[in-house]
Amino acid sequence: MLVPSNLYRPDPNRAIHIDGQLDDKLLSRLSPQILKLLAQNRKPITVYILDSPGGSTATARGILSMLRASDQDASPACRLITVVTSKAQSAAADLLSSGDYAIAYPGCSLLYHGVRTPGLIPALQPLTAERTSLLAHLLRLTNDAYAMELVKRAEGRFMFRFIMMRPEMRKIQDANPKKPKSDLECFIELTSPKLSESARKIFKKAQERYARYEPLLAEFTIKSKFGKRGKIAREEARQIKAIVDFEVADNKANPSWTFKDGGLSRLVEDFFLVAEYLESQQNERLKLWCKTLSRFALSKNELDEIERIPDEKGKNEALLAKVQPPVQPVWSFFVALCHALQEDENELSSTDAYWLGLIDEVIGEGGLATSRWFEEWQPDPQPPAPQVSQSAEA
Amino acid sequence: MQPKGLRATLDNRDIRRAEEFDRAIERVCRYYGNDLAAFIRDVQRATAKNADPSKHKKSLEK
Repeated sequence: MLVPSNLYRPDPNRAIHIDGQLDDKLLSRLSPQILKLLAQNRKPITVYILDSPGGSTATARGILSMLRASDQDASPACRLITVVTSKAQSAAADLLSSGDYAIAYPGCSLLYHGVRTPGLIPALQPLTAERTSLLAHLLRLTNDAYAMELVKRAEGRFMFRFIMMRPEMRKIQDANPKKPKSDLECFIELTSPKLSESARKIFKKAQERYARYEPLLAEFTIKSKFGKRGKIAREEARQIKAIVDFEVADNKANPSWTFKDGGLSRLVEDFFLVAEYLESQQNERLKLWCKTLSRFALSKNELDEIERIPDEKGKNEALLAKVQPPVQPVWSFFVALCHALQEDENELSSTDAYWLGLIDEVIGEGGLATSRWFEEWQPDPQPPAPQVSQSAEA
Repeated sequence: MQPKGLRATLDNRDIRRAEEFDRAIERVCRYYGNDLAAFIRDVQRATAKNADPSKHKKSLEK
């Protein structure tokens, strides 16, 4: 049975409400409420997002940092439960995903996209080649930074989806023992049908992005003494050289292909792709998740084998060696997905957001597994043993 | 105390969250081993009981 825990349940009596545009006016309205809640106690705070088209990212950040503030006794931050009841777009959607536990009512509309700079355009007038290319560069860097922030916020949810799908994935793999599908292939096969048309497009974009990593990385591994870390600029130079060679080889059948006519922009794209892949691969957080969820990712025999290793360090290393190879491609796919969410306009339903790891739970959808189950689950109490009467004993 | 090893790169907030989750998994594993499918079935059975429309019959009456 599930015993309700306040770490996972919204509390309307200890909540703030976000409605409309995220701007200075909203921040001024919410600040006194937040300060009051923080001063009362350190229990979780619920952030209800009723209907917001988004707005200033600085306001969203301001609300979040105030909600996460400590106190004069250096107490840990209050846990945040974010709940969308109708619409959360752009910066409001980011705010939703930033919750320690993020919930959506069914039928909500969520929108994720890259950053915009409408405020900067007048300052850049008249638009020149130099100014627009600087703007494009800044937008790319900001989008990449936002994508990696999203990775940080949603990684646990996405890895959780992956692990919870393991029993179904095993069935697919067992059905084809001669040519077993990879974990990532099974994951995509199982998740795609659950998504709306619009979410499937994002999934496809992430797949294309991920598919591009592989040949690029193969080239990079051969040419650049992979794994050896040097000076950043020298490391990047190696990457660029490897990408130049890769692009030339990849386009050898096309006589009209040149760097001048489109090839150079592709090189820039590839460079950022390699950078994002390497960042995801060397991520310590991935190792942590591998460790945490390994109990469900490995079979009983594999777990027993690791258990027999005498020292703790050896156990950890063996565990990561077993879990990381199947989990790594899923993780890199997830990083590609977060980058894809920063391109174009991506409108999602509550269920889409759940499957993409952007929220934890859709209210009332008992079929969608949540991390709350693990926390709230308690074995059913045993019925009391029947009392034996004295006369029966005799 | 400063966190060590793998966890040194994470801030305290993430550590707390990961540790809470670790403990919850530990507890579930005690009953199910690593039979995740059985756990999912049991929880879904419990939530399906709550979602049973016959339980809400009263609110549907006029």
